[in-house]
Amino acid sequence: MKRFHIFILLLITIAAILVRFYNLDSIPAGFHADGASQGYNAFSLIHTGKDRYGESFPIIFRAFGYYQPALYTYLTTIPVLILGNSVFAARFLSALCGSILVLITYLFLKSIFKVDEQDRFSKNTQNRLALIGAITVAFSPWAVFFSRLTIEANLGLTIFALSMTLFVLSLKKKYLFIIACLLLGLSTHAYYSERLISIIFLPAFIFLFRGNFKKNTKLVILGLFIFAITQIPHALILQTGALTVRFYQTGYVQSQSPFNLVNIFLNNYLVYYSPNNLFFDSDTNLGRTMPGLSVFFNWMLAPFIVGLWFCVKKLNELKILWLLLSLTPIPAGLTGDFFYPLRTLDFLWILTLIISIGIYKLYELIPSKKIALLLSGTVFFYSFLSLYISYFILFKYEKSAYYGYAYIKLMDKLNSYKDKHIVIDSARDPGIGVRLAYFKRYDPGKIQQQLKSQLKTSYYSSSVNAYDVYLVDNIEIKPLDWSETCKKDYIFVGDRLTVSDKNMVEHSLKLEFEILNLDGKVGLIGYSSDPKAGCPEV
Amino acid sequence: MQSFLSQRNKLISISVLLVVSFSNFWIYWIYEKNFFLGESIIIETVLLFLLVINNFTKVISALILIILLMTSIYLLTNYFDKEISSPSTIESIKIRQRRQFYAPELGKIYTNRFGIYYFDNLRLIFNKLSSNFFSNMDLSVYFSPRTLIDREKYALFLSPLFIFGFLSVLGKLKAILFIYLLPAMFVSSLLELDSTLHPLLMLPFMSLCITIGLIKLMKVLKDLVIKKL
Repeated sequence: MKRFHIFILLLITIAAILVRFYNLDSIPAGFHADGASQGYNAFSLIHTGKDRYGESFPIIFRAFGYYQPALYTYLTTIPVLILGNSVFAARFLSALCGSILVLITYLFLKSIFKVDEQDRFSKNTQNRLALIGAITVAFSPWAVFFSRLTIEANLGLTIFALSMTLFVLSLKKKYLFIIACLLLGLSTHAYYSERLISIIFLPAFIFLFRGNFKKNTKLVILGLFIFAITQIPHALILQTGALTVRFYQTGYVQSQSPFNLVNIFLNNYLVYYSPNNLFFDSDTNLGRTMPGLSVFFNWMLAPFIVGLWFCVKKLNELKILWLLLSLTPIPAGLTGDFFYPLRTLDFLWILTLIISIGIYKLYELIPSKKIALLLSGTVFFYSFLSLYISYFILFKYEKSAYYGYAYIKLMDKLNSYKDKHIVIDSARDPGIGVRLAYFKRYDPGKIQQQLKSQLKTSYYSSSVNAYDVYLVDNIEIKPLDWSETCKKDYIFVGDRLTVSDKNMVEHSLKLEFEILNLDGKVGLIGYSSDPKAGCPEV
Repeated sequence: MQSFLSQRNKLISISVLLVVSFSNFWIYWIYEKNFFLGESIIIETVLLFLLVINNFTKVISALILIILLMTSIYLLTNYFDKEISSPSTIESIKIRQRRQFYAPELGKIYTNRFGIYYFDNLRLIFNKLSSNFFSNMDLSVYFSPRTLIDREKYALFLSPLFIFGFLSVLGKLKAILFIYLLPAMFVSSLLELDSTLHPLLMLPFMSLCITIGLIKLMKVLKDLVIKKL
């Protein structure tokens, strides 16, 4: 039986890997600015030991007006080194983390429930529940969606989930507490949310399970000490304001009265528990979902309710689950955006665990196992079909503009303009320059020289400029300067908003090419200058 | 349920149920729409409550099913959502747009008679139905309206009582599920009613859970007082 369970787990893991790595380089179609930033910084680190601004081994990486947590970029040096500067290499780590999460979920669910034959909770039940958890995480829309994006949040979740598993296991094997603390500390270098969650979770965990650690005070102190050591890099830059710049950018804490603050926080926090947002609403925003699907499949609401009921019944045994359920949406609740799942991946993982418990309980309710299998097979097949259509077809085509698909196509187009000076308008997308530099494997030393001179504040600062000017070979990436439109041999590239029909006539621009997004709409337009027409007054 | 509800208290409990059922605007909006519809919903509420406290007698179960059937026929005849099978203008545009995405990706799976029918018609119908069906379970529909147009059907402070009551009837949910809840949810997902009324067939179950939650809470409080004394 044990071998059979391992075999099934292996199959689920392979399926999870396939769903996460299938056409990873082309879906999402394009390459988001954040991913390009991480990819190029990794490339720059490999060759110079510095990021693109010339900072040696940064604690957090400066990018587009804020800072990206460091761990994803450092770990991405490995796929970039092996696979080269490709979209696949930049997304590799996130997809790998998503696959590993399936195994961690299995382990977590196996360790959280105690085998109790009197309570009809056998070893077999434990294994089945863990397998259902693994398959639910493998195919949940949110898990697939975020695993295929170059986002550090997915790495943060994987390390966080592993640390949670070790915390649960540490209740039996006490020495694991130290490793759990180390991993929890590491997770704070992977994503913003974990910084806050870990600080609240650790004392709460020790308090809730104080009975288990009564005789192991030294071990607890050692664990806390190790966690504190992992926070030294953050402490070093705390005074600069760089660590909290994102919090103030996305939050509402400034300029609010205490009463308003509590009110806004409660509203923003409770939004994450709304079944409507979790199971029904579909949105096309990056932080949310794919066309036609919500964060979870809508049928998952039924097992969620059943799972919740079971968790209430086992309140004492599942204390850690309740703790995490209440803690994990706090960071997102402190930001001003309405329902932004990207910031609550830890919370979504906890919800998936509850849904898995509910699925198992519903499965148990059906007296005939043949009918139960047939029913679950049908639901699984339909869910997979919906996922495939929504993500691998509709999302790919309908969201290609959002992921800068046209800029990748532009690279091929510009090869036929090597003798011209090209200006790409970056007024609405600060990631064009770094995207181009990444694909062209442009010398990091040269980029460092260019960007360092543009820094308006010190590297770690509470004030960070979002837009930089890049010069990659003959291509200049900057906001369009109308006084240049009369220069000889210039090509100007921009989106549909860059140049209006009136501008075209006024500046005697000639249409050179149009690049379409996958949805058939014009993504980028190229114009050539006409020096004979003379320079208009700007 | 009998353990906490003696025969003597049944009448009081039914009175509490009626107070709960009539102390929300929802039922009056239903009465406003159709008096007999309101009546049958209230009768259904009482029968459902009797079903729970009387350990599921066959007569009550049959009565519930008959009234539900009659109400459903009335609702489906008058308020069937025609948009389920015929897409709106925006949906039609989207379907047309998406045809050009499906064809190159799915090849013959899409470009056959059944494939086209599934993606252009069936998928939309199924998505709408499943979304309507499961949205019956969304508590915000009943206690905390999502938009300014929607109005809350029950006061927000009743939601903990609902949860408490829901957890109490869970042990007997299997019977309620098949006798009332599932058919009611299915019929609700086929109806086109304005958001103030929809999903009216859920009212009996909601009132039932709130009432049981209230009774249970009273019992817990009573026990606490007795213990202290």
